[in-house]
Amino acid sequence: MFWQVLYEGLTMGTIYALLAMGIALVWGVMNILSFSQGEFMMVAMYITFFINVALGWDPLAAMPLVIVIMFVLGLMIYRTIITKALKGPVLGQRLVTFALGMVLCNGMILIAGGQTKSISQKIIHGNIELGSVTISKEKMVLVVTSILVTALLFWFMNRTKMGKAIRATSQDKEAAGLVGINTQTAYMIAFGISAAIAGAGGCAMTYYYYFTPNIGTNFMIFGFIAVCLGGFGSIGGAFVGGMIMGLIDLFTGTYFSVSYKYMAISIIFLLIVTFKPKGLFGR
Amino acid sequence: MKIKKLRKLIALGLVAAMMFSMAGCGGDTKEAAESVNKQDGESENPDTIKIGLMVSFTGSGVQAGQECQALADIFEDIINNKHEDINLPFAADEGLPNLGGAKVEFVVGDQSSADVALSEAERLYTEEGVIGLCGNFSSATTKTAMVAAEKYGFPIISEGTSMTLTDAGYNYFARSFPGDDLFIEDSFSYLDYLNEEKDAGIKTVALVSEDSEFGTNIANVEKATAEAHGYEIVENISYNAQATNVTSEVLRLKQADADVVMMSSYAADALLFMSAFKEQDYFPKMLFGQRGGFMASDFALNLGNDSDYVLTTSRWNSDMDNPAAQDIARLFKEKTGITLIGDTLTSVWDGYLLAIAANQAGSTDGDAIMEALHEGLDIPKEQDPFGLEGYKYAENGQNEYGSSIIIQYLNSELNTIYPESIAGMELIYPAKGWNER
Repeated sequence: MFWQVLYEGLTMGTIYALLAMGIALVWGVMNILSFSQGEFMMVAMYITFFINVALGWDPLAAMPLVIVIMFVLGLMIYRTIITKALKGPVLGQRLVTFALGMVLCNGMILIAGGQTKSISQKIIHGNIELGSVTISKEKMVLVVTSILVTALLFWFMNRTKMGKAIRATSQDKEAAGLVGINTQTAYMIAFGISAAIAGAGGCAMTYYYYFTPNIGTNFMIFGFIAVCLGGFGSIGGAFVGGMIMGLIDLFTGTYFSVSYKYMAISIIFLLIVTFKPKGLFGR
Repeated sequence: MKIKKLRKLIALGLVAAMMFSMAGCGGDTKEAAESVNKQDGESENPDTIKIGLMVSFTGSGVQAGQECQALADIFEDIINNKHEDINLPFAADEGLPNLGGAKVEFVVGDQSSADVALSEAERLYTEEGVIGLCGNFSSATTKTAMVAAEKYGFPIISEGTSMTLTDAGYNYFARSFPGDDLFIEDSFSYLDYLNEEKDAGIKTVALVSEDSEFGTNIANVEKATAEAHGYEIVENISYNAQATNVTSEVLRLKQADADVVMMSSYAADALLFMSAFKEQDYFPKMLFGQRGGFMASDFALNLGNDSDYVLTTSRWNSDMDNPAAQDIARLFKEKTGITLIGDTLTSVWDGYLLAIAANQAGSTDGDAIMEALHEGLDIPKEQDPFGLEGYKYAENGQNEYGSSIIIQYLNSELNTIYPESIAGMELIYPAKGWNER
């Protein structure tokens, strides 16, 4: 039982981490709380579904295309909405993504209706029995996607010129501008990448989850807590925050009481905020 | 100075005018609203009577709401136009005969949350002039909408199942089908029947319920009823319907290994549980849902054959041998391509009952409609899609003849298994595990 719970906790953690990394990236670079990250994930799930219906592609085959579509969508939203909001008051900047999330959610209800969707035919399915541990292959898709996305993001931010430009902009926008970095481009790419992360996450999530246009809202609160735990602006922190949440969720729910699992997450969150106000890895 | 005095005089005049108008509005709320309601004239036989249909515009109930609206369109057509081949009240006529052939129109209102339900109920009555409300209410949204009904004096027929609704002592509330208490009593009586007649050997029960009013009420009644019937409760789980994972819940259930897992869930969380059951390679010997998500059209549509062997209580099923039921199920399938489920039918049928009551009363007045409901509606049994013994509402609003059925999924179809007199198939127990299917 212990190993099953440990495995499920880590699995759940990687799902929270996928959402949290996008939020952490946008906050770290632009100081904007991306309330629409859950809805980006929902949109990606629907794009994957539409591709599956129209072309019969498995979510894994559709993933590169969904990532590109979401990246472009992110760029467009940045150019048309976020860039304008950044010129306004702080409250407007904070709330613009909240309004965007509502538009995406209700827009999807108009387009696709409120019916629950799912992708029934998937290349990878079934379970693997490893002693007393049952490993769901569908969930493994989520775990592998999350690890790959995290690794790619680290590589991009630390090894590429654009990644370094984004990091420099997040540390000191004016100084970055003075050394010739186009900070607007850095902002735009960062926002696009956060949407692309949601694209990868949403695509992988269709392997396990049934979804409606409201699914993003349910995940958002956990994404934010994971970011707070790990530290705002820290991508690695967001990943660790997600993992902590997953483990607390599963161990408390299984060994104590299901009713206490969210309370336990909240207590750990309060403790970390009290003793490390910027989160475990916050700057 | 003169200008200042003039301004003061104008201001005082305005305040006085406002106070007069407010005093005018401050009289009897019901009378004031009735005067708005009769803005088309005092005619006893209006051209059209409006019935409020409360559905969810946002959240997890959107799909159910869309299905209710589609069924309301069908009912409007049946009532307003001649359909001699359909076995439903008013189908052979055009409009409501006792109201001068008045047509019926369903007007949609939002009940996505309790506070929205209250304001929308008020709007539908005071601005749209509906004669009463029906819809796919939850107990929580019924509680607020019935406050508006009580304030203005118009009927609300809701299938919110909480016992608190009938215990509230409201005069304008009615419920056509059973509350939680009867659904759950029937569920445990069925387990008794299986033990006595089929030697099922059911001894232990695990309870799983979402933690809003819907699930909490059911869990409380289930706990008391299980104990009264002598079943051991080996697990009692309350979870959040917005949960993004229910793995720990399923691990606990797997460890408890109860003979029956009894669940109250909404659509999305019921599907999430089914995913987690399969992922953990666990399926209870009997998975018994209490309507909600287990009766939603999304359930079988998404799960396909993975929905097999799940039981749920219900008020109606499309396999019932009843001409009215068959007619409605066929028309709905033709219009939407979806199989009609009991919860959708009951939600909108309550609106049909309001039209029947208004016709029987020969009036659109709220008190007259309530009187007709209390006296009992005159509906030929062959024209009732539920085949109930009658519709006679007690003082607390409960229809004395409301009854429940139990159904089981097989080949992703809903099959009535109890009462035996109307059963379409026999129960399959214990359910097959995932690897045996």
